[in-house]
Amino acid sequence: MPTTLVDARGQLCPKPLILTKQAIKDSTPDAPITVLVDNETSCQNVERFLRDNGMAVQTTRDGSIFTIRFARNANDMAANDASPARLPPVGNASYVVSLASDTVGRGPPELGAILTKGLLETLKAVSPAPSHLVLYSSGVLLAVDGSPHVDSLRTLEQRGIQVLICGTCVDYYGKNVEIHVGTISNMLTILEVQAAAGKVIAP
Amino acid sequence: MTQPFDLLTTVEYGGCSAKLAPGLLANVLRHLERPTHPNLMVDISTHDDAGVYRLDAETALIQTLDFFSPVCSDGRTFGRIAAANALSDVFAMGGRVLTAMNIVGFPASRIPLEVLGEILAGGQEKVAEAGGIIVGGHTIDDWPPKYGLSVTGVVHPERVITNAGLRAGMVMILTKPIGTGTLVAGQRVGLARDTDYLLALATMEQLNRAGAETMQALDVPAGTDITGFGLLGHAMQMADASGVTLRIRAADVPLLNGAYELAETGCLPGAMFRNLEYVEQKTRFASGLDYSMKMLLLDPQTSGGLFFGVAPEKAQQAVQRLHEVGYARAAVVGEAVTRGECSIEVVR
Repeated sequence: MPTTLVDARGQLCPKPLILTKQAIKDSTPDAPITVLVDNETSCQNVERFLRDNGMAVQTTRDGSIFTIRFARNANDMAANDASPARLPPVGNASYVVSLASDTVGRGPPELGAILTKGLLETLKAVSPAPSHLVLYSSGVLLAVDGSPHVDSLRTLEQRGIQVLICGTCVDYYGKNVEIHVGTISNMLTILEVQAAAGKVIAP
Repeated sequence: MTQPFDLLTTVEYGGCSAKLAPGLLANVLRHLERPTHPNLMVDISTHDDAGVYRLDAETALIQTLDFFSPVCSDGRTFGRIAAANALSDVFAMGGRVLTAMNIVGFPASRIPLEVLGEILAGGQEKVAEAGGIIVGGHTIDDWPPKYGLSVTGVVHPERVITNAGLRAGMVMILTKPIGTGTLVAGQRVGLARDTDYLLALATMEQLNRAGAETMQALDVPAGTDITGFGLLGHAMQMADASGVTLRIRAADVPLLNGAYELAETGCLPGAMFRNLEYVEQKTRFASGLDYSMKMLLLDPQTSGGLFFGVAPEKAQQAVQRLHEVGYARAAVVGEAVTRGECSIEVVR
């Protein structure tokens, strides 16, 4: 599928966002889109806008040029103007998977790591899919750049599963931690999502 | 006759969008010792619009200042808007204006001096309309140009309207439609309709004087004006200062014509995202709240309307009166409820 390129270099806020939204509207679902900006604030605003609208974003920086890559997904704002991050899980069968650790279970860490990998890779095939995957405490480490699980998480997002990441926890791990998958969220939303779900699975 | 100088060519960001990010400012201020004095009635602790100092049993002094870089092309209009915005802080405290002083940054070598004359004339018009007089000012050579006022007003010490006076059960009223930040941004990228933009300018020029008089006539205990932090940013400050939760009904918030359409195109001023970061830890947004609407609630306002709480039995009278004195879009937009987990609940 050809990538749509939005060159917003030299454009002042909010022009990069306007051009990005136009590209999303003109694109087909799942089409990859790349946005170039040369201003950090514009970059952050475009990223936030995309994440708020349920899209997974990957950004690289080369000098003063930021390259933002994402794919329009099926339930983005072009299809539905509501913010998916705030949508309640649909139906009684809805459930949330919650991971409070980067290793599943209380066994040896090696086993925990294997189980985590298995869980994230299997989750995409589970039917019905969970509405949300919540990562908190050391669970947020699964989503940081360089984690072997980033691709699995991205796949889950593309399947329409909202990946919510505890912002306080990310802050705790400090400035070196970069996250380009999922939605950074807060305790309120995390609790709300779990409260609204039929079940919460905490493996 | 040459083409008039376009002030918008001097700025990237203008108006209250140019405010320092609220979180950054709070981080700096918390390291400073806060002065206390028996006569100091309102200080920065409640994020109020102006300082209030009791002179005697009958009179409290209100002091405030505000200035920014151009929000529009024309000097006269910029002067009016900057002045209306600065004067508003006195009105938001329920006061009346006595005197004002000009604060000017102007690059004499790069912009024709007539433009400065227009800016000052616009400011003077609005100070006169506010019932005050300009008694002086200070000008420095500066780029981009900046204009605003330092304003002195008075209020009876027992009739000060602050952020901290809300009680659960009060009804919240907003006097002007929101969306000025979006309209100004939209005009700059060539997307705003002329008629919508002109209406936004007129809204920004409109004084909050009659709104303040309405608040006083109805014994309103708590109010503020909506400026750079957006409706939700200022609502959060009020909720926290008063110890209540504010429930805002998004569908009832009046929007400037064209603002929603612009937001839908992605025309979202950067300050909206700053304001979102400022409020999101303490705000619960309703499930399925429309994204553009949510962001407009965070739109930075320049010379925005008054936002105040009133006893429910007076709400209808308040709105009717506001309509009569020139705020055609004034509306009930929510209510104060017993403090819950959040400062603000936004419902659809």
